[in-house]
Amino acid sequence: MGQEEGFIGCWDVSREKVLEIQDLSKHFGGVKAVDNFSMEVFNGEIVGLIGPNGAGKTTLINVVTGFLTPDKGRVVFLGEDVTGLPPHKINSRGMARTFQLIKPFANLRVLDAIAVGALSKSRGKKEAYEKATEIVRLLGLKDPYRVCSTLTIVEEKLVELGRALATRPKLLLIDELAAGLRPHEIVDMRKIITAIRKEYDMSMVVVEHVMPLVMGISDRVVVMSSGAKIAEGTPEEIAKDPKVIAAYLGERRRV
Amino acid sequence: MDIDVRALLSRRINIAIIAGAVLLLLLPLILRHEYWIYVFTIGYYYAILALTWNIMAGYLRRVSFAHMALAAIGAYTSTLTIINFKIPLVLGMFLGMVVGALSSLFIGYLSLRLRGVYFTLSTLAFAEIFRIVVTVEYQYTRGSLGLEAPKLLGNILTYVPYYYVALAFLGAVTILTHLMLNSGLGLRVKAVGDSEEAAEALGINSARIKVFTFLYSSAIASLAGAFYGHLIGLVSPEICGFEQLALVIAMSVVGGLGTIPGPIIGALLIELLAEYLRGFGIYRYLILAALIIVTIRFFRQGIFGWVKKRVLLGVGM
Ligand SMILES: Nc1ncnc2c1ncn2[C@@H]1O[C@H](COP(=O)(O)OP(=O)(O)O)[C@@H](O)[C@H]1O
Ligand SMILES: [Mg+2]
Repeated sequence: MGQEEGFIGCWDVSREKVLEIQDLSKHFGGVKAVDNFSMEVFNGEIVGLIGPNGAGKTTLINVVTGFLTPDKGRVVFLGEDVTGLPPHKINSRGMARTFQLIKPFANLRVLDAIAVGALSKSRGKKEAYEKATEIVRLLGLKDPYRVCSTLTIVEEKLVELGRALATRPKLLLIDELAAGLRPHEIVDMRKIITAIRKEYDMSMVVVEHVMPLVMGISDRVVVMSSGAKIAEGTPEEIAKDPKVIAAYLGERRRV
Repeated sequence: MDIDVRALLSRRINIAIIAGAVLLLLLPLILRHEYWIYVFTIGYYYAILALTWNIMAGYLRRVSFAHMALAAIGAYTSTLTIINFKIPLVLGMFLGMVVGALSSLFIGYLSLRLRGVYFTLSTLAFAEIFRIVVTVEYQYTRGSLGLEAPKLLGNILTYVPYYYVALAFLGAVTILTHLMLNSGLGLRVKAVGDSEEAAEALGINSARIKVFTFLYSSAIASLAGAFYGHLIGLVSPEICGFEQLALVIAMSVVGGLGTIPGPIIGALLIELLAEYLRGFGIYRYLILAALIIVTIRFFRQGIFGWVKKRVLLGVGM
């Protein structure tokens, strides 16, 4: 425990851990994309995971959700070791993700795309579409019959979020939802994430490269740099942390 | 497109499909000529193959070059088992379908987990190996001379009954495929076709979906191949020749990839055109190739997509 002890003091200690990442490493040749990284997510919590470009955030998500196998370390989800399971098995256990580089179902309509997510947790197609309709309403998507290849970036990101949500996850990992969006759109996304949190009983890891989206919604922020965790705390603590500021100095100063 | 337009379009499409089906049912009464009835019967065989090839290429988005080889496997299995073991014809056809299905499972397990190109190359390799083996194993298959196959309906003098059997076969495949593609399973197939990674992330076992889709498409192709052998009375390596594959691909693309009516329309039109162009010999394939290029360049959605937009909706008229 050590380092987390003082931190956990301000949370309900009895809360169960949803996700435990233990000493995870993933190297690409000489690049240590994820390097001995550990973190945990508690039930109902929103954790912000930030770090400069190339810090290893996407690689971490890929390893945790089964898209990559780790070189070392374990991923424990809801008390079970899920390290190395294929992505669809990890999803059916209750972990969902979105992609930083969105992977749309270009030929499906919005409603279909979201229903795809609902399929495996529904008894049939009809039930899947009912759930999808509900999510379309929650996200405020205008025309659910439009084909996904005709959507704007914001709509594409919402569909990406909606279909992950439709799998009814216990834990949702959101990779750079704000990237490519304008400030007022980021504000809308923040509202939507807050709304999702109210509607569903789940934990979230919100990955961002910059702070604005993460600041307002996270209970706790973890900072990653060069594959390792360099800081952890409340959003206010993180914003002031000199180590964090130093980590971002190499690039644009937008923390 | 707003909701009214969509409802109108789907109503008009349904009317057009029903009208088309009725027309095909009455066609033998209108055509009268045995020759054209025969041409249409063969057209239905191609329609089944184009339709099932398109399930792979247009929905799962994997290009198979083994489609005609699988049809030939069905044809050879059926005829060889009937000749050698004296089993009933229908059982032979069923065995043809089973052996085709098993072959597709074999190819699928080996290569569908890999990226798309490798799957396509594997199907090409499989098809070529099969064609060479069939041609070389003279004592069983009579090589490129081909085997005489028992006729499906015995020695009757008219093709009208064959016409209706083929039409019923096509109708059954069309309805089954429509139901499949509009089920939860079909939605999974389309999702994997659009993005395998996204589908996996949403809990879909993409490997299983790919193997299933290939199995579905191949089993029907094999049954169609067996039917074709017993229709024309001859089973030869020509069934899986490259021209045949090119023809089926042209039918799917020109008719409209990723639609059900498209490949059927494409198959009938191109079969009629190919008959009409028979005098040009091998050069008719040049015309067909040009047709594919024009379609890809100017009518991405194929004939069906164009008809949907221009005729049924009246856009741009
Ligand atoms: N598939 C890959 N092959 C090789 N290097 C990779 C691969 N994916 C990521 N990397 C490298 O790993 C590091 C972390 O990348 P990434 O996880 O995308 O960071 P972030 O999401 O934090 O921007 C970068 O240096 C990147 O170039
Ligand atoms: Mg990233």
